[in-house]
Amino acid sequence: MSALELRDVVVDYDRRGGGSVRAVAGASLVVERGRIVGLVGESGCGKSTLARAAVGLVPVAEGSVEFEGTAVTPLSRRARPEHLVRLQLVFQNPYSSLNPRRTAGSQIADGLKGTRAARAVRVRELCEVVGLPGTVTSRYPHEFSGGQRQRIAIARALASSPSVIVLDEPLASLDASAQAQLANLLANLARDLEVGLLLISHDLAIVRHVADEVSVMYLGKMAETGPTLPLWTKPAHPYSEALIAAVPRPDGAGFLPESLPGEVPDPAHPPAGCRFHPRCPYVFERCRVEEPRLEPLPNDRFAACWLAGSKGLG
Amino acid sequence: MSVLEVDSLRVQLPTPSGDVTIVDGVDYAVEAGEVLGVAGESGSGKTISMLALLGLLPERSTVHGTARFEGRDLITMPRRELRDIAGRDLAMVFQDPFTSLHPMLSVGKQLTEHVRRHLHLDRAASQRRAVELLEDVRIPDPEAALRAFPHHFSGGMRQRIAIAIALACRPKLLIADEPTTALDVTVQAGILRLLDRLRREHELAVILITHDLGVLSSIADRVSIFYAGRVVESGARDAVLTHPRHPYTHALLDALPHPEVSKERPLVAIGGAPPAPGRLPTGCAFNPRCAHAVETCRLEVPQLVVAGDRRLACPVDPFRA
Amino acid sequence: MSSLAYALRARPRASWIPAAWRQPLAIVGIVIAAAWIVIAIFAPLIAPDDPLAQTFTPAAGPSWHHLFGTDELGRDVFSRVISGSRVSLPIAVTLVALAATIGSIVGAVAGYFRGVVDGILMRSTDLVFAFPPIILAMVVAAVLGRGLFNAALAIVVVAWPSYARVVRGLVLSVGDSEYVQSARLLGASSRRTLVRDVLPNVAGPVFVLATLDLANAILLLSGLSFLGLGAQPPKAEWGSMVAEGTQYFQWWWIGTFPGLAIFTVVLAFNFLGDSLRDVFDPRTARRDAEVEP
Repeated sequence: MSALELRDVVVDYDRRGGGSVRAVAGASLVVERGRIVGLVGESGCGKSTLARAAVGLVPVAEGSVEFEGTAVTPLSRRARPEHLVRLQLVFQNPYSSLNPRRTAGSQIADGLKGTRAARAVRVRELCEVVGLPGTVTSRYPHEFSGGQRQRIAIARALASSPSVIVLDEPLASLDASAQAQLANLLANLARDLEVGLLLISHDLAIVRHVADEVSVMYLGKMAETGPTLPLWTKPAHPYSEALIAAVPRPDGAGFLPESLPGEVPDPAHPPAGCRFHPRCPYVFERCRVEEPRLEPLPNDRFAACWLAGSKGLG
Repeated sequence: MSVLEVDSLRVQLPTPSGDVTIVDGVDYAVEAGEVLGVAGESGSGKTISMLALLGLLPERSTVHGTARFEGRDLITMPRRELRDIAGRDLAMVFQDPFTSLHPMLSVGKQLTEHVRRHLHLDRAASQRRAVELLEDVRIPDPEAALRAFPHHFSGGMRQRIAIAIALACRPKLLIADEPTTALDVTVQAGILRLLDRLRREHELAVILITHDLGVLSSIADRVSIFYAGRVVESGARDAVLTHPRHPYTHALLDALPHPEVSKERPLVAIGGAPPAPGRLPTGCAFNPRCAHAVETCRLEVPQLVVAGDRRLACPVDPFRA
Repeated sequence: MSSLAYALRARPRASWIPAAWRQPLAIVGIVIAAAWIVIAIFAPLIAPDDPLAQTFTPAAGPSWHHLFGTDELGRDVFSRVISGSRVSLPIAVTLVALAATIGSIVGAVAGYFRGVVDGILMRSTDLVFAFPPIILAMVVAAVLGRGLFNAALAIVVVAWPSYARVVRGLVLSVGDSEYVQSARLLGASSRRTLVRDVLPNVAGPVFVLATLDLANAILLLSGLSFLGLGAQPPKAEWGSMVAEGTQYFQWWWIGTFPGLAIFTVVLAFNFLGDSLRDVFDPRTARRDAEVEP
């Protein structure tokens, strides 16, 4: 049994002024305890929506989301069922994910039970886990830097002894050094606390560094999934290839990253055939009419491309 | 002659607790057709030093030093003259393409108005120039784009439009402040390629401000690394980024995930946090976070001096080749 | 630095100036408001004469004996203005508190339950908003009958919907905020987050609105009394005193001094409300230096 399993998830959004948009159009994903799964793709590909669906913040139209064998139900007015509390989400913006009028300590204690004294001890322990001094508990969020706030948000999630944390762009608003600190922290959480992490990020270099597996999402569907390093060195899907080629390298060699022409199409009107075909450099007749499914390749890899099988990834 | 030559620039901003020095003696120069990359963490003074040149600082700020733009000093120039130069010969592109364009005016209006004011062209000529500009930044179907409004475009396209507006009067210098930070990598690559082509084709001097050393490494010819309002290391891109010699530059690069580095090795974060402006430590501002600091680092502010193939503000120079 | 640059761009230069001149205004507001509160508490000690005693020469102009002169019935205007503060201020505070409470409850219920409940409650506030407040208050006061109590009640009727709207909006936006969603994911019920996260963030703006509304309430109350629907003679109420004054334009002091009293109180509470708005503004609160442990 997997810790978190999303199967053929479809999420529809009501668009302002009528009509609905299929933000996620059948995506599957598995997160095991102690593993870090990276989810990458351009903005508008549905990765943040999928993150919210994974924890029950948005309802799923089709497909299923299961956490430790039980269905993840959408949030209602009532308190979340006890067993789901071990599935947590950390938001992108540490400036809006903490209540400005409550102390850090009180917010970290949100997910704790027990006596006041026991909670205070646990809050200090959690601060230590995320690398903050125990003295921070009586301070308010505006007294902290962005990186520190994100640690508080993570400590808050850890209070529920989670088995899976979904992180939606947790590093995006931070400086390089704070990013490095947090990336190391995430790697430690997975290794030492056996927490499974779903790391959503547009920063592919960080994902490459910390994730065990990567899923590449395009326009609401998975284009490719697989273990990080093989996927990186030999991407099976042209979209993965384009994403990786666009990452700039800080080595001083003056390598000009490759741009991917065009833009993510409007999810309300996805292209016929393969969703990526209008931007694909390898497009041929079949791509325009028939949509490739996510097919298994050697070495636990999957790709949704008619050409993937012919790339010799064995 | 350099297009822009900045010498010992000092900027103080008014704050509730008194004036605070944000930029403390910075110098750099850019040549035509060259990209100067300016890097540093947030709060290092890189943006303020540029806003100072354009007279865009809040009231009661003080600016010292010189900034010779084609031989004339921007700092002492009368405001009206500066306004004439800024926007025509010296243009700026900002980080957020969602706020730098006027939401209620068509793209055509924003482009042609600018062109007509500064170049004194008639309606038909400015229209032609606008189409030309949109073609130059690779906006598909420029005629239709002129009639559209900013919200019709994606972030990347808006940034291209913002660049087109900046280029409208054939500037000699373009200052781009984090132009790709809000964009996806795929779109970022497009903007970087665009900037690279423009500076080659138009002999444009570019100052690229970014916190992303990867971005810097892709198109900058020379780089200046800012820390706490000062330049700590500057020189040719390959020299500085391939063999960083200032402990801060070194640490910044170490903090980045690198394709050749094993996954098992944790990223090396810099301990501590950058000092707040106005509360700098004595001596070298980096000394409390520096593993190589010695007694002099805590006492004297190191000067930026020539050190072989670059300029360096570190007397210890622990990474000398 | 880019965030600083952004802040510089987002705040146009002009807005730096009001921040500077708002400070003295806040002080003016606090001093005047505090002075009126002190006057209201110690009115019997401050007022030299009985506000109702018709014992002096009628319609005498201001003099050392009668600072604000006497009215057409021979009452000391100064004493009447002083004792008028005991009518207007406590009633205004009470009715604003009442309106804020009713409005906040309605708004919180609408924002919390959403859907049909929200629709019904908010349409009823729209109904009240459809009329100009003074007209509606006049109609209500006329239906209830003349008198200070009924006038105050009429003002509560027109005043509560603005609280309902503000509170509903805040409950909705704070309720959808990421920090509330995080608390919900950690197992807090919706009601628990309402009490612990949402309402504390609503309190500040409601308090600001109430302070500004105090000025409105005093104006409305005086207006109703001026029209004869509020305080009845011989009660010393500012609005009715101004109304009396209008009948005797040649004796300008009868109407002018109570009018000035209304003016200063309204001004003071407006200044106070404006500066409170700054105090509760998160942008100004965030200016504290960040600590780096």
